[in-house]
Amino acid sequence: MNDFAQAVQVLRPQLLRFAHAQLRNEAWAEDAVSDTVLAALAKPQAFAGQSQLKTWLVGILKHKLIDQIRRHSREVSATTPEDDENIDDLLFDETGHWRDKPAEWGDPEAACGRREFFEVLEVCVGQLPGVQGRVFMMREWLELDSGEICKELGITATNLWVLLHRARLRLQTCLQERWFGNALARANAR
Amino acid sequence: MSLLFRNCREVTELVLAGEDRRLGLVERLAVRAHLRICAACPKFVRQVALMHQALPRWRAYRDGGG
Repeated sequence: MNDFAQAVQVLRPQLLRFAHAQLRNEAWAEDAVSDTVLAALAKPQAFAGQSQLKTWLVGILKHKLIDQIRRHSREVSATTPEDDENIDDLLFDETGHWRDKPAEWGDPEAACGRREFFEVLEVCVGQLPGVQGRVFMMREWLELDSGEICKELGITATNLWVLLHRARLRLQTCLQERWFGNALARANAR
Repeated sequence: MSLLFRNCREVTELVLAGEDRRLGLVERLAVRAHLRICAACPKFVRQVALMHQALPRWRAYRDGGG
């Protein structure tokens, strides 16, 4: 194996982790990563060293993931009972008021400057129910717009907005529990 | 549901919807009116703003450094 092929192989586990986070399916993730590695090894000259190898591979992977989503669109968008759960009922009372008022999260830079914050965010995204997680990742990681996501999955815009709404609420709740609610504990641990 | 007077649940829905679609004029006015009289929702709006800033950086962290 030449150096280039070896460098690509080293990044394979990370690509697989990303693919799985997007697709939530082992076999599809495996296919997307294999297609990515094959495409990279077939055209090493396309990687002119202008960026990091990882960034280049992730760019290819994103296209291969969209191929997989297209291929399995019906299963990708088949909601689970957890997806259909209405998280708003947990957060608001019958009159539409907050049960627990939202907390002040403070200066965005304080969170965004810490790599641990992004690791917690990653965990929270991973805990989203299946379809919520997939559409959230399509929107925020693959950077597709609402129209593109609806087209790929064959769902209505209203459907998509409900899923994204629930995903975003869940994420904020998760970050409150795992990060912002623990500011004191984190400060003491340092 | 009144057009201009919405409760916290309805306002958070609009605020989050603003991340994925453009709100209409009446929706924006309703959000603004509610935020002026509510102590809790402005904090939620700041949480959404933080997420809005954090997500592109999460993407960069994943795709490059992380």
